[in-house]
This record gives sequence, structure tokens and C-alpha cells, in this order.
Amino acid sequence: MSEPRTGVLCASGSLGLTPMHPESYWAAVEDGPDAIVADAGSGDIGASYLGSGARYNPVEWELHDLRLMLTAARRLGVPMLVGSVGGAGTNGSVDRYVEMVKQIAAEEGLSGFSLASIYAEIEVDELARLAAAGGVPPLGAAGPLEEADARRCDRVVAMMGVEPLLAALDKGADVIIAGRCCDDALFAAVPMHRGHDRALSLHMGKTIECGPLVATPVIMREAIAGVMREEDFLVVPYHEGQRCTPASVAGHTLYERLDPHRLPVPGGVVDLTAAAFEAHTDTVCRVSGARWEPADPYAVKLEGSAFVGHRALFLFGLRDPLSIANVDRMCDGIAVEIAKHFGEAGDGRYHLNFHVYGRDAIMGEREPLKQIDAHEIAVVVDVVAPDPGDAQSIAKMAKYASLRVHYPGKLGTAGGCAMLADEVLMPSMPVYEWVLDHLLPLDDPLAPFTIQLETV
Amino acid sequence: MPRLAELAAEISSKNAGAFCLTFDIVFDTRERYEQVKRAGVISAERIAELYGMPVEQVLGVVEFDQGNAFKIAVRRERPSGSVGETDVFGAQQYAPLLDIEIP
Repeated sequence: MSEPRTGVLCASGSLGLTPMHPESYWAAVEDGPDAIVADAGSGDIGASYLGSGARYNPVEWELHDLRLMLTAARRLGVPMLVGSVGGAGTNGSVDRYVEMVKQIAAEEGLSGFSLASIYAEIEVDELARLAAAGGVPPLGAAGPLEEADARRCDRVVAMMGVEPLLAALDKGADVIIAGRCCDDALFAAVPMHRGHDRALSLHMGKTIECGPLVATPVIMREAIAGVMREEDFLVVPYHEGQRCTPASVAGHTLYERLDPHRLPVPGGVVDLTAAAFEAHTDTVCRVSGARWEPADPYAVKLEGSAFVGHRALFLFGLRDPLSIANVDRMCDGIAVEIAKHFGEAGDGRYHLNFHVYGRDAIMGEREPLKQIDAHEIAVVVDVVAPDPGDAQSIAKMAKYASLRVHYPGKLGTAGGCAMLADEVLMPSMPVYEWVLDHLLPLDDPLAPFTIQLETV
Repeated sequence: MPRLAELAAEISSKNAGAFCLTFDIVFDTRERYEQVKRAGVISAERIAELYGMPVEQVLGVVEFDQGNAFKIAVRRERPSGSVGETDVFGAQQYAPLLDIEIP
């Protein structure tokens, strides 16, 4: 038997990405939600944040959003949940977020609440041992995980389902800071804890986890709520310029998923074949019809990140039509010059890619249009090398060569390109790559996720 | 013949996880959705041809009647953010869909 109604407030579609807008948020808080929730990460941001542990957001913005959530949740006496913290949901990010919550609590004079941290990292040695035993089946990969691929990973997280969150709520957690977590589960946890249907709760979670992306027009960082009822849920906007219509909500069901009829989550699939989207009012949409299809065995998705190297970029532009016509010859000449000093690209010492903006820099080999119509183009020389000194020197060699490389009929002999700056650009974060596209079967959905509680 | 861009309310692309790309084509009205559906021009073969990829790389083309929408999923050539990446979020990969002609 469920509570008749459970309101879940999505405070931000991505905590800390840019600061939340307080006006619609406080309007939503006035409605008395039963949980205040925000996702703080994504697989989209790439493997480098997982591998390096670098911060995805400015700490001031994370503090801003956490402060709004914590003060309202404590005032209402309802659970606050934040998942996939820090962008990638690493253990280090969980610890950092826990410290921020304590700092805010001290500054705001809030105490007497139970704070849960849930960790989602998997030891590489443990994963390698499971892989060696053939125990890590593919999600989209061609086959089961090989031990050597497991060992390539520098850091691995498992995407938790709703069970660890429910366990923390059972233990009386008022605030949950979770590592890598299925977004849908994060928002479904409190409704399920209050007895609502699993499939409907997860569909509600999928619907509101990106906040105002579900509304029309999209105005980011505004508050959205999902209100669970016994047979359906409502999607409610709080910015006066936004509406949640059947078209906007059904359309958002498609977002970032492979199949709109089937939403795979830890432990099963939410079947939306019979889902219905109807106007409840002019601005509120009513959704029903989700069904649960359990998976056997229960499994969670793995994400693993492996170090590739350090990146150095050199960016140059071309305006001379003859230079533009010869851009491939220029790039080949640059590559030859680099190879004279550093050996061939791709032999382990460095990777070299040329991105020709104005032609196919965005779509690469998928680009159907191969001719250049622009009167100016840009070329980004993209160097990645395990040794940062190599990366920098190779990009500097590209700079030198781009000025001097020859092609037939060249007129501009004083310097063959326009440099954005007479330096190479070196991003501060190393390059990592995704390694795992696999599942971790679990006898116990809680097993790899450590839950710690403390009283603040 | 109208182009898809003239009939659809939304045409977009985005990663679905690190290994796949997904395309959403959403219509404002049931009539326009049905018009495109009847034309039969949005198929795995057509997507493979537009993107120069083997048809096996197209994971699915789904008609989502509840949302007046088509959902297309393809396997990426390499995981998002790998060396050589051109579009980390996959957010500009929909452009070739705009000019599909609807008979």
C-alpha cells in the first residue's frame, strides 16, 4: 500500500553545472515536496573526469546548489538525495560532497540529521579477478570482459540501482550523497520507499532527472517536480513561462536512451509500450502505463577509464584559397615533419589528429559533404602523448611546420597560416578513454556499494 | 517535396551512453508524424547510407507513436571522448537528417 501522493522536487537538472535559479525552486519548495533530489553527473562528460578525479564544476556553484537543497530539505524535514556526485561519482567526489554538506550545515546552523555516503567504485583487482573467471558479461561490447582490459582501467565505478538508496533510507538517512548512480533510481528512491510502484517511480525518475528539459520552452536550471499518485504521476513546472505538455514529456522520454519503449535500469527494464501522456492541466502532464520487467540475473552497468596521455593543441586558420585547396597537403607535410623527429604517429609515443573546421571536423568519417565552400577554415592539430613534454614539443613542431610547409604554387611564403596564438594549448586534464561496456551481475544489489552513516 | 526539417518540430542527436548515438525526430502533430511514417523514408538502410556506415551499425529505428516521434540508435565508431573525437556529446550529428525528402 503506497502513500496516496509523493512529490519529488528536481532541484537542478545537473547540480553545480551552473547555479540553480532560486525563484522557481522556492516556489516548488512552498508546495511541500516529499524529497528534494538532484543528479550531479553524467557519462557524457567523458572518461577523463572518472580517470583523473578532476572536478567537473566550480566548487562555488556546487556549494550554491547544495546550500539551497539542504536548507529547504531540513526546513521541510524531507530527504535530500544527490547522485553521481562530482560528475563521475568517484569515491573522492563522495567524500568532497560530504564535506561540503557539513560545511554548509555548520554555516547555516543545521544539525541533528543523518548523513549517508554511498560509494560506487569497484577495485580494479577485484574486477580483473571476476573477468578472469568469465564473470563480466557484455552490455554492448562484443564479448565478456577480458582480464587484460580490466587491468587497463585506472578507475572503475558501478552504476547503483535503487536498492542502496532504499537501504540508506531504511537506516534513517536524511541526506544521501551517492557515487555513480542511475539517475532514474535516484529520483525513484523516496517514492518506492513510500510504497509506490517500481516501474512508475522509475519512469517518473527518467522523466524529471534532467529538470526543465522535460518542459517547453526549455529554460535551464528551473525547478520541476514529479508527483507520484497511485496509478500515475504528474509532471509539474515551476517557472511561469514553462509548460509540461504531453508532447514535451513524451518527447523527453526519448532523451539519451536507445529505445523509447524500453528503459533499461539496474535490475530490469521499464516497459513503456503502454505508457500514456495526457494533459492534466494546461501546464501539467499526467503520465501512466509503465510496467516492470525484472532482469535475471540482477546486474549493474560498469564504467571504466584508462589513461591515454596528455593533450596539446595547436590551432591555425587559412584564408588564402590556394592554402584552403591544399589543406590536406599541408596536414600531410606537418605529419611528415613531426615523424622525422618523433617517429610515426600511433606507434605508442603519440597520437596525431587533424580536425579541419569548415570541412569535416564535426562529423569526421560520417560527413557526407567533402568539399570546402568556406572562404576561411581552421585546423586544430590534436596531439595526445603519454609524456606531457612530448605532447608539447610535437604540437610546437606542428606550429613550426604549419608556417613553413610547402605546396605547389604557394604565394604566401612569409608564413603559411594564421595562428590564433603563438603558443600551443595544453588542457589541464589528462586524456582517458572508456574501456568497459559491460555488466556486473550481482546476487545482492547492495554488495559492491558501501553505505556509511553519520550524524551531523 | 518537403524536407524533414520543414515538417519536424525537433531533430536532435545525443550520446546514449559512451558507445552509442541516438537521434530523435519529433513532430508537433499526429498528421505530420503519420505523413513521414507512411512515406517510409526513415529506415536503417537510409540512415546507414546517409552516415556512410554499415547497416549493422544502426541498432534500431523505432516509431514512438505516443510521442509522434522516431528514435534512431547507432553504434559509435569509437567511445565518446576517445583520441580523434570530433563531437563529445554527439550533439551535432543530426545534420544529414535535415535534408531527407518526404514524398
